[in-house]
Amino acid sequence: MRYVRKKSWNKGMNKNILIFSEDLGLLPELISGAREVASKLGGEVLAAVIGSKVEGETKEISKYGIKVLVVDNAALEPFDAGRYGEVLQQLTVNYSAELIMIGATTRGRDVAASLAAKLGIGCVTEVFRIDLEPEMTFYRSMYATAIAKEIITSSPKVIAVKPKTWARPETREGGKIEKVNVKVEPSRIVQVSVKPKEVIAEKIEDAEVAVIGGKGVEKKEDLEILRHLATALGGKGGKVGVTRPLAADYKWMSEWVGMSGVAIKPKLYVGVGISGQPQHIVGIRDSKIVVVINKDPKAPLFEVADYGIVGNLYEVLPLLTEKCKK
Amino acid sequence: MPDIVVCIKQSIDIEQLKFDPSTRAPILAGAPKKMGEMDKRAVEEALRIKGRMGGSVIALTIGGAEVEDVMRRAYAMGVDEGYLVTGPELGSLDSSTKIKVLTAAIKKMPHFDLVLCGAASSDFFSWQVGPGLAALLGVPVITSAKKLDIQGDELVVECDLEKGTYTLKTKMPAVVTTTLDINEPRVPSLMAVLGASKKKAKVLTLEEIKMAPAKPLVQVSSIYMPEVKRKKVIFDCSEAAKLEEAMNRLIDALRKEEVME
Repeated sequence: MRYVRKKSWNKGMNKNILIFSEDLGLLPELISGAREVASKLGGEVLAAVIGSKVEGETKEISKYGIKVLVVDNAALEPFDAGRYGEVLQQLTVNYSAELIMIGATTRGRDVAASLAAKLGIGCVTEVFRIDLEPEMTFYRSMYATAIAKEIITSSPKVIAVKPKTWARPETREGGKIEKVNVKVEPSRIVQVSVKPKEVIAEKIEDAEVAVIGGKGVEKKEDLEILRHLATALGGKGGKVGVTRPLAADYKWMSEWVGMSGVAIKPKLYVGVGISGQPQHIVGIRDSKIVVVINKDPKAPLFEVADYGIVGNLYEVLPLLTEKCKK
Repeated sequence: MPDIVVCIKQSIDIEQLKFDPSTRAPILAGAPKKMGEMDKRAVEEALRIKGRMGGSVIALTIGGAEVEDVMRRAYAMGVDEGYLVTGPELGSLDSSTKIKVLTAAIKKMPHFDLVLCGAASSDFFSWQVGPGLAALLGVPVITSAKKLDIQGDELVVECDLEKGTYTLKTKMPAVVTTTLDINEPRVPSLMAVLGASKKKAKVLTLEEIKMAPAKPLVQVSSIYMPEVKRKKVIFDCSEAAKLEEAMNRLIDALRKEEVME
């Protein structure tokens, strides 16, 4: 067991990259990204695994050939963003980290913001790309549909990175596990209960052809009309999804397509009865071909359409389905 | 009887924001603004708690002259008092600096049990202010709340995270951030809007909260709308007679694109 010594902060001397994710499943892709950055900074990639009874999880991470710092402490259960921030603060200082990369789950973002506030350093969240030349630049979405390129002027820097920004690396030799003892007060949060999300059989993000319904769809049963079209267009890869109001307000489905829900990039997207809020458009922007069906010719979604049908979905869909089958 | 501080932001109305067709940069001058959608719900939740339990609701915002609008809206919804940290450069602060300014302002207030804010603003979507405030105030934070109850000195919060719905408890004082699902915010009556125009917020300057203007920790080097080239082939089928022909052409096109079976 190694005890962390208080160490004076060598300004400008930091070059290591510290990665952390509350969802351990995101750590491998962060390793890929951190290695890219390390090739420029010249430092070491260190992965922090923090929590209570997390030691068992570390082998899985060290097989990617990096040093894993394990902070295993009963005080860290249940999750308390402030306490996790304090732990990362100590690791940042003691391991001379220049960049702290955190997996951007809700809790990951909370830890990033907490860490940045405690250290008084700059933080960019929702990062989906990093340029290293001419200077380190972080890309993130802004105003829902636009992109901002941002530079952190402080040293060190904190970012929260969107899932799937990099691919998982290959496993390799050379992994090390180092137990680190950190002083931390007990969590201030009590977990009363947790209801896991139901596993959704139809994962819209895996669809080859995604037929998505909006408020123009009058009732839940009518999603069957969309389903027929999805199957006719994409076979087993054809799936149905909805926009936020239909999921969050009407409860027709448990997930929705859009900025606050799931982002999709199918070969073919068909938007049915969707006006086209910016938050929806950003979630479908990477689709290969966009087809829009809406009776209102002024619906903003037509602006991002490859092919648009101005017409009543209850007439268009059955006919289109019929013709696809031929 | 909890004393609640609600942090609100005058956000750019992204549905009305236009982009320059040649440079693809946002046209920010004169862009319409409104209170952030999640912030509105934070104000509404604070007012509902006050309705049930008493206490007080203070709205807090920072920015240039334009933020008086958002404060008027908060008054119209029914907050007791408004605090405004203003200064010419405060409109374009990065999240880290905003968090410092908000913390300094909250520390000037006599007392708080609960700080509420929207989980993210409706324009920048940084998701940083709530957890950042909690870190600097030294209190716990629970983010993305869709239900909030107060039992004695404890908060009981239901929140939706990636892996499920969590019910969490923590002792006040604390920070909670609200999502769109927590409530349906009230629309103030015309009388309330007129009444609000007479109310004056307390103005705090940077000197009063003992903050010196500092170099931004995050600089935005550019903002642009990514170019997505779409074909925009539109078939007008508002007359049923055109439908048949349009369907045939659409299916031909999709086959050529090789995106259907």
